[in-house]
Amino acid sequence: MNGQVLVSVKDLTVEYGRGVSRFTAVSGVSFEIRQGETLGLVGESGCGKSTTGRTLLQLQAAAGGSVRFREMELTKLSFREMLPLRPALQIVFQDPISSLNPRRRIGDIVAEPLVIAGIADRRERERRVREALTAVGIDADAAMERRPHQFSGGQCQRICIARALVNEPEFLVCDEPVSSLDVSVQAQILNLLEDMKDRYRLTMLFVSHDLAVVKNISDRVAVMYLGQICEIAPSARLYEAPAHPYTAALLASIPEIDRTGNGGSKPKTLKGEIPSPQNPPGGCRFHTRCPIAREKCALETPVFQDLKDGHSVACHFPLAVPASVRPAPAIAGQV
Amino acid sequence: MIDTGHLKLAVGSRAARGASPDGEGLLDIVDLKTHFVTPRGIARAVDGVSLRVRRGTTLGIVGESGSGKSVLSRTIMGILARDGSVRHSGRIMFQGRDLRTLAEREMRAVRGRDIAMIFQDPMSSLNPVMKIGNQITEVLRAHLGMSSAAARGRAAELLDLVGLPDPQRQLDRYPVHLSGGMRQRVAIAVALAAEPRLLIADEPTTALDVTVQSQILELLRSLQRQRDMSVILITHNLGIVSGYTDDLIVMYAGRIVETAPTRDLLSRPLMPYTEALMQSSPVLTAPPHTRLTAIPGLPPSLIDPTAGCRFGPRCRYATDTCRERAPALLPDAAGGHLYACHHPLPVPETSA
Repeated sequence: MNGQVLVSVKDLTVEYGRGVSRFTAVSGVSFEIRQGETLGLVGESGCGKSTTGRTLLQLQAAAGGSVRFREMELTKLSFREMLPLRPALQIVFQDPISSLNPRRRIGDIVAEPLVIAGIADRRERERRVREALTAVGIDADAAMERRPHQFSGGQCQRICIARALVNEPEFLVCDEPVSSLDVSVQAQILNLLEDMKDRYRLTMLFVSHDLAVVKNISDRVAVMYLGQICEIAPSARLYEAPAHPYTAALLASIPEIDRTGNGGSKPKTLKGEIPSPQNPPGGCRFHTRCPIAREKCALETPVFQDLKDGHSVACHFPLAVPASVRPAPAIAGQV
Repeated sequence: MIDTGHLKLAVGSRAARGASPDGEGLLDIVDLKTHFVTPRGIARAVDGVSLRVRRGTTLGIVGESGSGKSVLSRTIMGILARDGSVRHSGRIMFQGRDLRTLAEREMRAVRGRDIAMIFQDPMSSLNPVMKIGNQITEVLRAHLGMSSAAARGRAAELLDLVGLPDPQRQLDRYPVHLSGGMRQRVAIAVALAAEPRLLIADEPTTALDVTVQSQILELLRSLQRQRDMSVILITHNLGIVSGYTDDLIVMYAGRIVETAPTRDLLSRPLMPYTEALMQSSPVLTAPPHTRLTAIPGLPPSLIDPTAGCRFGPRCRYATDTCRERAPALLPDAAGGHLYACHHPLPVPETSA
C-alpha cells in the first residue's frame, strides 16, 4: 500500500445548526488515504463519522480545514466547479431502498450518473449500465426494466453500488453500506465491495459502527469519538494492540460467538453514555467515561502522538506504553 | 381452519419439551402456525413451531428477516390483527391455559401483567406525549390496582432499578428528553412494572450503540436473575445469544431448523444453515481482508416455499433427498439437540 496520497484531510471542522443551537459535529479531523487503500472510519452514533464521509465529497459544507483530492482543494469549489469531479467521487448509503427512486426503472437509475456526466450516446450508456449491473451480480437483462420494489434489500444495495461504479470513480465513500442488511447478505456485499475494489482500482473510505465489519474490509482504521479521531492504525494492529482506552472499550463490548462451548468471555461494559456532541466535555472528550482517566485528562486536550508503524493515538496515557509509566491500579479489572 | 400443509410435525411433544426435559415449562407452544392472507396468497410466516420456555431461563431465537421470529413473538402476545387476515392454529400453553382460546378481555389481563414485551425501537413503544412516570403508573394501576401515590413511588423505584439517574425527576419528563439507551431502560421499566413471569425482548439492542448494548443486556440479565423471570430474547446477532441465553432456537422461513442448549448449539451446530450463519459474520479475530463465506441466494418466499428443505436451494450440501422431502425436526443421539436436516454436519472430534 505505497500508493500516492489520493485524499488528504486536514483540520476538518463541520458545524450544524444556527445561533444558539449551533454545534460542531466534526472538530479538527486529519487523515490521509493513499491510492488503492481502504480506510475504515468507526465510532458510535453522533461521533461525526458519516458527516466526515459526506464532507469529503462536499455533500456537506466544511466550516474549516481542508479536503484535498489529487492536489485539488475541494472545500473552495462551488457546486458548479465540483460537477466535473463528481464522476470520480461516489458514495453508497446505508439504506439502499430509500436511495433508489421507487418510480424509476433500474436501467434509468443506474444510467443517471452517465447522463449527468454528459454521455449523450444512448447505446454507450446502456452498454456501461449493463456492464456495471453484471459486475455487481445483477442479471442486467431481467433488471433493466424493473423497479426497486421488485428487488430485495441486498439486491437494491448491489444496484446502488452499480450506480456508484458506472462512472468508474477513483474514490468511493461507503456510509454504513451493510448495516441494514441480514448477516448472510452482508457477507455477500462485503465480498462484492472487495471484488469491485480490485476491478475498478478503487480507493475507499468505509464508514461503519461495526468493528468486525470494518476490520474485515479496511487496511487502516480510524476511531472517532465525539467529532474527533482518537486513534488511527493499520487494521490488524489496532485490533491487536489498541492504545486508546476508548478503542479498547469498544472492542471489549462486542459480544462474540463462543464456538468452544466453554461459556466464553462476556462483554465488558463501559459506564455511561456518549455525551451530547452539542456540549462535549473539556480536555479529553472521553475522560467522563474513561476507566483510567486522571486529573490531567479533564484539563488538557491530548495531542496526537505517533507510536510506531503508522499507529497514532490522542491520549495522555495510551495503553501501549510500558506498564511502569501507566497508572497501574486504575487499569486492573477494567476494560 | 388453515391448511396444515404436507408436513405433520412428528416431533410435536418431544420438541415441546424443549432442550432440557428436566426444566419446568412456563410457556409451551405446540405446532403453532400463523399465516397471513395476502392478495398474492397465504404467507406462512410461522409454520409449525413447537417450543418450551423453562422457568427462570432465557431462550434465544435467532434468524434473519422473514424467518418468522418477530411474528412468533407477536402471536404469543396476541397483538396481530383480529380481522380475519391472520390465521392461527396450534396451542400456546401458558400457566395451564391456552392463550389462543382466551377472549380479548382475558388476554388484556395477561398482556402486560404476566407477559410483557420490549421492542427494537423504544420510541415506538413509549407514548411521546405522555410523561415517563405516567407510562409506568398506568401499568401499576391497571394491573395491580395501586393508588396513585403508591404507583408514583413504585415508578421511581423501577426507574432506579433500570439505572436511570435521578429517578424522581425523570418521572415528569418526556421520552424525547432521553437518549436511545435511556429510553430502552424506561421501556424495560414499563415492561417490568407488573412483575411479569415472561419478558419477550424483540431485538432490544439493535437500535443502540455497542457500548450501550452491553449495558442493556447486562441489565436484562441481572433483572431476570433477581426476579426468576423467563425471557425470550429475539435477535439476528449470534454474538448476543452466545453470552446471554440458556437455550437457543434457530429459525428459517417460518420453521425451527435447530434447537439445543446455547453452548451445545454454537459449539456443535448440526444444521448447515446455522453453520453458514456463523461463518458469514465477520469475526474480530480474523485478519483483515479475510474472504467471508456468504450464503448464496435469498431467503425463500413464504407464500410459495420450495418443496423439500426450505434451506435446500442455498445449502452447499443439498442433495436430491433435500429437494424432495422436508426434513423433520428430530433429536440427536443424546436427545437434547434437535435439528431438521437430512445431512447433519459431522461433529468435530474435540467436542465429541
